[in-house]
Amino acid sequence: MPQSRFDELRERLLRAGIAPRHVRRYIAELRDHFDDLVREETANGASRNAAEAKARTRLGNDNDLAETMLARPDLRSLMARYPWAVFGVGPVVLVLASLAGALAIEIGAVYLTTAVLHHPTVAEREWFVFGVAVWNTLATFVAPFAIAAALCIAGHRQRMPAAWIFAGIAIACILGAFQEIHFSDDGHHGELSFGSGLFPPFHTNLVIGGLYRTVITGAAALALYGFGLRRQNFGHAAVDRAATLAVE
Amino acid sequence: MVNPNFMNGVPELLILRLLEEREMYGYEIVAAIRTKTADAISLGEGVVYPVLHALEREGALKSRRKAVNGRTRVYYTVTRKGETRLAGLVRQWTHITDTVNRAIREPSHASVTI
Repeated sequence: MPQSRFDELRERLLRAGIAPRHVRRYIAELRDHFDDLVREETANGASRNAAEAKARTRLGNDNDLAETMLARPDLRSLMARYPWAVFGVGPVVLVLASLAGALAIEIGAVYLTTAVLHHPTVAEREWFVFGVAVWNTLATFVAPFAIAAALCIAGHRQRMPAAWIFAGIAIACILGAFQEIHFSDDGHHGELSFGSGLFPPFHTNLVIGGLYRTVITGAAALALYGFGLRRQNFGHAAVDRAATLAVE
Repeated sequence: MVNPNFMNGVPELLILRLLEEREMYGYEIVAAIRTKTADAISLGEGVVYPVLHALEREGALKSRRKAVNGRTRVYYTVTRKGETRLAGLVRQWTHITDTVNRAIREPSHASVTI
């Protein structure tokens, strides 16, 4: 079976909102079925070309194959059914959850360290402060990017409109980047603080830090989006070339 | 209330009935439908898969990958929920055919409830 025919069907189903796992399995099963039909027709004495033509007819045309799948709304992905939830509410919940998780682990680490090291040395204190700073960077830099990247990849896989993907990336990057967790230790006691540049009184450091992190994580996420789009377009070009060759 | 579209649910009914006997993959199912119905019901062969996926999603079927002769096949089998669904579909289908048969035999007096 020419690869291009199933690629067109795959694109059509994904764009119509059928979940990628159902599309992947459907295409794999159709390909296997086609091979079985060709084998059956060849065993019955047909030439290879005649067997393929007959197998194509028996399998059904693209419209029928697509329509029967599209007639099953339960096979559509959650992303296609509720894009506002995945790309709007999703990043808000995930960013807040990652911040809450980071804070909870940090507070636990402070209590645990205090319980184990009653009189920490200066070096131990410095190591702890460094470790917490790295952790905070992960929470406010890496986590929002990871969430934006996940939305980007999932959106590409489902062939979602760019507007939804951009909205998800923007929410994850801005909401995540404008929060700051900070731990300081003056040698006598440590202090864990949490600040947001999105709420009054809009502390200058928080806002500038937020903008800085937004630009970096946003640029990285957009680069990932561009890479995904390039791959997708390359796939389409390959399909078009194959289709042209098939016609010729 | 019987489904007014006669063919609605027929692919599901046939697939569940066949898979009740033994697990099969798509190509085998289509071949079995052709054999059992003596080619009276011929589906576009590819359209059997959306039905299988939907039945699996509803919990009426479960699938597993199995390597046979160097090729990986997706085999489907009926679950307990699928058996219940099959019993319901058989009842519904029997009711339709009984009603239609009565209507054909006694067209002037039959009351059709489809």
